[in-house]
Amino acid sequence: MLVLTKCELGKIFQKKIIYMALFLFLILSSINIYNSFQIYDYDLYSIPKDLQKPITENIFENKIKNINEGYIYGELTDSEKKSVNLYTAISDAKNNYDSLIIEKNSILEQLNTITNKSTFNYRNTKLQYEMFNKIPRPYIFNEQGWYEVVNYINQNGMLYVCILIILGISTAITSEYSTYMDSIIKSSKKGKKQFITAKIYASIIYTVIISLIFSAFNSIPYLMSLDNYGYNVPIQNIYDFIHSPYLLTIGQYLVVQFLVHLAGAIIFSLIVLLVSALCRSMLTSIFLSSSIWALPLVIEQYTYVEDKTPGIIDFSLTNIIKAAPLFRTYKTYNILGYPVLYPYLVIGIYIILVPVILYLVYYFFKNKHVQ
Amino acid sequence: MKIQRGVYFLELKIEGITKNYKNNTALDNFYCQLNSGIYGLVGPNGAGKTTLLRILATIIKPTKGRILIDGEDITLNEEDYRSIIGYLPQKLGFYRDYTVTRFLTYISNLKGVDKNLSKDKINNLLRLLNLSEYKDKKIKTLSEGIKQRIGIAQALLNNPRILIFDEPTLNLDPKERINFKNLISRLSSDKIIIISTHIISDIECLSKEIILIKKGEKIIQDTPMEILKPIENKVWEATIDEKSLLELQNNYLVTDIKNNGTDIRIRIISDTKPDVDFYLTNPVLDDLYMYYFGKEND
Repeated sequence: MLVLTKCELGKIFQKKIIYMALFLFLILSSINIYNSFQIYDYDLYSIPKDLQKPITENIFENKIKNINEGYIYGELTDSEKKSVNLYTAISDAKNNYDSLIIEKNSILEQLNTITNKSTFNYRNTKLQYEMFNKIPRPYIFNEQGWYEVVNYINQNGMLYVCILIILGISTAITSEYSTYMDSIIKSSKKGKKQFITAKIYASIIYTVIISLIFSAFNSIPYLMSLDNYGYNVPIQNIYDFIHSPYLLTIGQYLVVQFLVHLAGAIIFSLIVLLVSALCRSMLTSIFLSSSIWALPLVIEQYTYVEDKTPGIIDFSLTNIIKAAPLFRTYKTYNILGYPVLYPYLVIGIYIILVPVILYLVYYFFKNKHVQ
Repeated sequence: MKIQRGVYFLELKIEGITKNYKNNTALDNFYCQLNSGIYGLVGPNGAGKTTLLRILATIIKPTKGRILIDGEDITLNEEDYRSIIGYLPQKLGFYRDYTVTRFLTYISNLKGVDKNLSKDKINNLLRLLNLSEYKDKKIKTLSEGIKQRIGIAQALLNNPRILIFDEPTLNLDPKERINFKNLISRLSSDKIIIISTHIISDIECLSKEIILIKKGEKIIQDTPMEILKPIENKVWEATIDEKSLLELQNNYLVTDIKNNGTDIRIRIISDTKPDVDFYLTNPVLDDLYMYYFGKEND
């Protein structure tokens, strides 16, 4: 199996288009990183050691006052810029804390109005309150740099990885039909089950490699420049996650995000492989695979209303590959009267779907009529 | 009973194989029994030859019927069965950017050939098929004839007990065709070799038995000598002028015409003597082909 997998992986990596796309995307990523470092001197956003902690009333009162006294109009020195950034961090942390208190109180108020405790509504609100209640006070923290690391997968990372999956895998089985190799393959000992298993392994390995390349390429320059302090700050300190109910530090979130992104990318690659097993024409396979990926993005683009996306988007694979939409807000689904958290449900559904997808890949290849 | 490599078996039975497609029946209740030796599968286009070979190669499943190896249904152990077959399809596929050696190595992996043995096996086959000089060449740079030889090499990689060749001489030049025939006769001692072809001369001297197939049904299966019996004393030959040719073509089943420049030599199948100039001659397989399929081809 190892030898066959190596052969199938070799077929994927033999495509010149992959290297061209990889090169192009790494150049684009480099430009983004370069621009980001040009705009922000991340050192100016670092937080002094003694203030690397959650916001308190005391800190807010003392520090804001001191910083205000030293504020100067006009061209700022680096030291002044650092002070302004610290002021902003403290001020933001305080505002976020106030918002969190308001949000928690509002949920509690809502919970107290529900009299019937055996309803979904009660259980859901209770869960929401419990989750928000565990969220620690916001930390004094500047998100610059960390924002780029956290959001990369949600934006360009997802785009690049999906395009490379389509380029690498959408013709993986289709090309066996179009080159008439399927006859020889199917008549050989390992040409049905093991051959497809090797294709599946190769697709997964390829997806892991490209996901790692992009995530590492984008993260390493930032992580080398940023203070380690950011790893331990709650994810709610990143603007996009301010309403997230999940008790995760940025470091933990980065791991979870990558794993979810990887799981989504692997499932997407298996779906692309399935499309490839179905289509005889390479163009059709590429078009269908691209549609599966891009359609939810297009629908989202045209139906987006104040963070309320239609259900089809919630359950699209694109959302899992992006990972971030799963964790930004509190969202549950009513399953037999009990609230199930959105990320658990959507990941669970796709995990259940994986054996079905795999079965169909084997089935369609085995039963595809040879020409 | 498990099909195993190296276990000597001699019997391949095709029992009532039927293959239906949406609008037609490609094979209809086909029965056949084969032992070691070369079998020529002969029939016109659309007769069901390729369908039968694909079923034998487990590429497609029959709608009805079964195939037995020494009494065991191949579907019970399809993977083991595939390890003892070699198949050369009519439409031969290649990875154009692979070198010949890389391609054959890949196929030997698919066939489960022992990694330690595959290198020697490939080199032997390259020598046997006069392909050594092309071993490092990319397949896309090679002629159709060489590609066909690579196709034959891949079919032999796992030292198969059953060889299934669908139009193997299609792209071969006369010299390569003779080499192929020599190779096949050398291999046939302990193998069942099934060759489907339009070119009767390719199998005439080689075949232990010939199977004629028409519209998905077996018409006849017999030795090259015995199979000619139905047309014994029915094949007539004569030298005629051009004027008589058209009339004879309209009234008789003409199996061969040779124009010598001044006159024409013609072969006809007829129960009775067509004309005083005609004399009886020994039938050959081409006559038999025309006897069964000549009118269909018209």
